Amino acid sequence: MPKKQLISEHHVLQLATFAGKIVLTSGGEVYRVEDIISRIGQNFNLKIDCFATLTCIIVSGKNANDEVVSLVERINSRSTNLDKIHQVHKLIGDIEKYSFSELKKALEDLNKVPSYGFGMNLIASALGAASFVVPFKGGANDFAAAFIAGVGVSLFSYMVSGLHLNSFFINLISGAICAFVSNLFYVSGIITNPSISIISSLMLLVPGVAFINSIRDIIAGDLVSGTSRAMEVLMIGCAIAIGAGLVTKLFFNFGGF
Amino acid sequence: MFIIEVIFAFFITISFAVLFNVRGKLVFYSGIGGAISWLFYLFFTEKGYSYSTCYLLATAITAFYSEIMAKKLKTTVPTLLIAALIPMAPGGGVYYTMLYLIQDKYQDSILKGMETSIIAGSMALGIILVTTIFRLFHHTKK
Repeated sequence: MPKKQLISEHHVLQLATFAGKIVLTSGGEVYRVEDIISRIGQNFNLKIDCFATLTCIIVSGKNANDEVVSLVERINSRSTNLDKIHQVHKLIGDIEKYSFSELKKALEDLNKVPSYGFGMNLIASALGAASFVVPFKGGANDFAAAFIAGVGVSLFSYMVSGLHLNSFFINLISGAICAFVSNLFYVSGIITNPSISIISSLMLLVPGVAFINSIRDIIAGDLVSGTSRAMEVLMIGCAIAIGAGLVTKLFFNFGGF
Repeated sequence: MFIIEVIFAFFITISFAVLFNVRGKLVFYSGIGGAISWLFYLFFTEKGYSYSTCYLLATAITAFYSEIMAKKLKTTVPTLLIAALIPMAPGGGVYYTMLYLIQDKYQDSILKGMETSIIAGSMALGIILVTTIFRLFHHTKK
């Protein structure tokens, strides 16, 4: 295909890295990122070798004349946006149909799609936290407490979303909010046991994405990323426990005010 | 009670799918996965299996469902799997470990901590089993 060979190597490299960056910042597995980058390179006749970790993507491409181009992309923040991973996966699935500029346009377009709005997030986290009360065998009052704790966590994460705080601190405060709301309900006599609503609302903070991706990375052979993600899971777990524990301890010692 | 819990597991999964920004009909299929995971967890608990076996089998079944549906819906496995496993996440274990610790019940705390890590380990093993089988299948098909 002569049309495809006209594109210079570093443009292909940049496009491939951009696609990889979208997946990595949306919470995709590292082996998927490497796979996507090398498949885009293959499609445009460039052999790309790639090394990706959670915080950095290093790619280097070699063309037919043995000339080497390379690129390092630093990843500063990661969030969870499974829709973007799904969209990139679909795009790469029929990559044959796209020309270079079409693929670039499609990737830029899907990167601009906003995630669910604040209202939707608020409803989802309130309902998600409250629904956990049923499997934990709680009553209607626990349901209300977990609902309000979910609203609190969602409001807090919305307020600090622009501040670029570290995740340890955010999880610590979120855990503290869950424990605070439930203990407040307990102290005012609405619920008889604060544990059920605390667990229900803490579930919002459980690092499910990192846990599952770390396992999938380790199976795929990416030991560096897998273990660092497992550390992330451990760190988030500690932060939640410390936050909730601190508040519960305070309520124990100065309970009833 | 069985049915009500499964229905609420469905709602839990849908809420979390929205929080993880899953869109369209995938939210629904993810919710089905969550309902399946809780249904089988309850089923195996009812049978009287040990909790690590319950978690292992229920996780494996959910992972199996996610792998098959991901092929069918042309999506990635985590899109369906992450939210579907949330109902079984051992958040309660982490909380009780911490609670016993601050109540100075160190032995209970260590027991709960061990239990939580065993649950996390069995869930990991469940995912590993199914993913490896599907990789093998994919490999031989090529």
